[in-house]
Amino acid sequence: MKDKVIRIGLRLIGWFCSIDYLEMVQGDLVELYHIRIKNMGFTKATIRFAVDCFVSVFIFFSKGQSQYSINNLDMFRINIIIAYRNIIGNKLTTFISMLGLSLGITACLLIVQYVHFESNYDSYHPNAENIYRVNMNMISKDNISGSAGTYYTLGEQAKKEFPEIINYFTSTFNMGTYGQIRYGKGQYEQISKVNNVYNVDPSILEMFEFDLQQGSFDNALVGTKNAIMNASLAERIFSEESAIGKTIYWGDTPFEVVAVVADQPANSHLKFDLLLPMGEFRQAFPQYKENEWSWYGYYNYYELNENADVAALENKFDEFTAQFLSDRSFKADVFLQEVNTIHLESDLSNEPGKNGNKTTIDLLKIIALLIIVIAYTNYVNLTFTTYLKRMKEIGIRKVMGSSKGMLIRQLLIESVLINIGAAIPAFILTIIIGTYLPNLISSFPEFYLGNHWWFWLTSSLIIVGLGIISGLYPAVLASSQKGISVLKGVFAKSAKGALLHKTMVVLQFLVASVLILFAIIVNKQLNFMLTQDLGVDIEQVLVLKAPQMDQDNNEGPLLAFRNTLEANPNIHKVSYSTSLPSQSTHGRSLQLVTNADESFILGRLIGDENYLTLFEIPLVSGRNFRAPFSADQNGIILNERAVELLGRTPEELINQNVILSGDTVKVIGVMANYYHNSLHQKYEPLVINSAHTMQDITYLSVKILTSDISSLIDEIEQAWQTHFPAQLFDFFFADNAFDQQYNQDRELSRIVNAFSFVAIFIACLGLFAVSLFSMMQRRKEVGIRKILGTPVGHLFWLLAKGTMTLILISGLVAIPISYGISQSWLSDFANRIPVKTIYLIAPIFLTAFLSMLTITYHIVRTMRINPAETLRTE
Amino acid sequence: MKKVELAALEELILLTIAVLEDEAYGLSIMQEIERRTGKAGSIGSLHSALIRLEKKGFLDSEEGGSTKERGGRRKRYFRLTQPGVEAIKETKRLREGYYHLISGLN
Repeated sequence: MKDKVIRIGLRLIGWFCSIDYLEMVQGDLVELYHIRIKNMGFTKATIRFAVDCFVSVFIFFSKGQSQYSINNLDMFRINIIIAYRNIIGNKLTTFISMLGLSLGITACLLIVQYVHFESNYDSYHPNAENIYRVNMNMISKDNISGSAGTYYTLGEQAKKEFPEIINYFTSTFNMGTYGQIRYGKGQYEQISKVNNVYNVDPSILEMFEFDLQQGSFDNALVGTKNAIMNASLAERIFSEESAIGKTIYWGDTPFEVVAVVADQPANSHLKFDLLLPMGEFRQAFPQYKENEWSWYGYYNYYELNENADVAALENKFDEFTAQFLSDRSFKADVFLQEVNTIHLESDLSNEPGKNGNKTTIDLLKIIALLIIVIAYTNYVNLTFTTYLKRMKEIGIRKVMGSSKGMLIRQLLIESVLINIGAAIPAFILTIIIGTYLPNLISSFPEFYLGNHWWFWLTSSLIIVGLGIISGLYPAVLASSQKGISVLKGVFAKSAKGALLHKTMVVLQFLVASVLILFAIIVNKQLNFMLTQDLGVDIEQVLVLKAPQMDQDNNEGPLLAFRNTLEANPNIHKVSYSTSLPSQSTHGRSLQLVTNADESFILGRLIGDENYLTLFEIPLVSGRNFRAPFSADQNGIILNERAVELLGRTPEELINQNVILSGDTVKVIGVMANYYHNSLHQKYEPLVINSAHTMQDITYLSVKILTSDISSLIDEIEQAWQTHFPAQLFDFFFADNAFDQQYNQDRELSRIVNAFSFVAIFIACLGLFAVSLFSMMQRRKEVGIRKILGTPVGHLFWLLAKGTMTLILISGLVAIPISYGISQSWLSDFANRIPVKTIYLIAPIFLTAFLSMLTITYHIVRTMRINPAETLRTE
Repeated sequence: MKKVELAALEELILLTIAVLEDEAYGLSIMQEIERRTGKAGSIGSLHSALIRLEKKGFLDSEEGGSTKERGGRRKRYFRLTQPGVEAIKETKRLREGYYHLISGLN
């Protein structure tokens, strides 16, 4: 131990100290060390020794007294100088390798940021790995539908039943009164829009992480009278004032704000503006309490003890629920989802928010890897070409007695320098793009990784490491050549070098072709979904959020408002409904009266007699609802898909009774199928109930006939103010809302486009440099051919042939790979485009065209040289 | 000759080397200074001062006597050169000039 300490310390000094005094310094230090070990013990002495060593190094290094210093440091310095001169001397190649690397690193870092964000949802809860949400699959005949919401009993009752559950809370989304809260001195003084309101049990405060800013959690959410607000809502409605103790009205119910918490992090699957007590919800909806097994809109979360057997617990749940659900038409399969996997892995109905997509994340990981592979292959290839040019230098170094190790070290220093030189602009670019990207791609998070030192440290270390690895192979190969043959320039023509070269060009263009083809497929599929006929007309439809109605179910005000609007010449029609294309429907079960065993789940919406005509959905059979709202109390209109699932023809069902979630209703009409949701899914079975309870109405669709939309909206708002004063006026456009369902696909398409561009750009950069060198080597050949009278076209083809063959090979190899990737991506879509041959061939033509453009410059330049110039040199 | 200017540490080192006579090498100088002043300096600054003084010509050195404690490395013994002795005398003269003028010091 002691000897080791001494050895390390003295070697350190040896590097820096002048050789004249080296022995004195080392000797004194060692002697002092021994004396100190006797006087103050090993540890203290070692510390003092280390300090002394560093002080000595500092003193001797800063004074620059190394008159005859040991070789290492100077060699290192000279290597750096030579590396620097080489880098400067080959400006074009250096620039191209750095540009390629920078782009590759930037693209990769941005993907890392995105993937890190998406994969770390809800991981900030202290005990996240033991917190689960319970979900269930409802399995009926040829249909499985998963739900994130379950029954209330699965919270409270399950906690008592199963010892594995050490804590739980139940929550539910409160659609309440159309997203408005009222506050201020009088109840109706001020009104504001609030989107995410949940009723929750107080134990959420124990299980989830909250950052309390004002007030306290004592008794928060206990009882029915208090509420927790997030900071941005508190600031919006109370601005500077403290929100604590203020009264807010949600519907007609007053709540006292007892705590304000910081807004939840962006990576939270359950985002809220306002939390209300669960007790209040239970009180307000006694009908749910009467039959706990009727409504599955509750989100139940458990904290399990650490060694709980999740699979066994799921089985116990299945037995538990089976005893209560024996009368159902479906079988419930209960399963637990770890809270931090919900975002990427759970895609059920009734999810509290829009979840991510694991396939996309996996694809992005692959793309990031491919981009890095391209960038570094490019770099290795370019390094090779510069070494070809420097073979004479390497040969002379060998002849002068440089060892293999020294040569490799020198070449590696260059490699690392270039990598560092590429990393710096890449980091800057990453910061700039990372800051602006969230504006372009809404799901791209703020560039938060940039605030962590470990992110930069790890990336820097990886880049230096990759610099060494990627520099190693060309360096080893170049330095192991025989000095004499290298001097003759034999290396350039070795079969091994050439093959490697070609393989790398093929690899680069292979990756680029795969990405291009994938980009084509994603764009085509997106385009297909955007232009496909939905079977429903949602153009020029303005949708208002319906007003809050009185308890007494009076349809008068709604009708009056509709009449006012329809009197406007710029408005074609107005329809009230609970849903419209792109908005969610309620799940109901449907069965024939005669066949009570076979039922299926379908989407239910409530609409008035204008719904079909406004959206131009044709009737296949039967009739539409009659006006006014309540005329067809028990009438329903099914779509063709629902009729098909019942196993009947439309005509057979007209005026027949069916059972809709326990109620007997009469089929009065059958409408044509249309896409209620995005084209990700097939036609879904749908049923429209006539609008007989006004309180349920959520939307008011207005078909407009003018292009002057903003003045029409002003008119509508004026009418709204007269009919529904003190109600919030809020609207959106139906086609926009429908379009937004494709946001994820659109973002993927943007990302893939950008990265396939980066890939082909880097590949072409590499090709540009590589062809420069190969043309330089063939100058003499070209000169001789020209003298012998080769026609220009033929000469051009001779020079381009090699590269074009490589491009063709890579394009052909890319076809099966990209075909596989595209098929697996497309399999997620119920309505998808066929992968046409033209899509498979297009990347070959594109890469061939681009690479032809790239190499033409050098070929033409080489061909234009006067042969006398190239031939006279020898 | 150039006017002599000695820093406090340099003066101490020269004095110590004169006191130690033939036994003045790095570590012994340091220990002697430490014993007399009670302050522990760092060996690094001592080395740098020794080299500086040698360059200025106040010191002369020769290598000799290796011991086991030093891992077989030779000691470098320092002794004063004529300019070194002059430098001490010069400093002494300078100081005494002041001391005479200060009443109450004698």
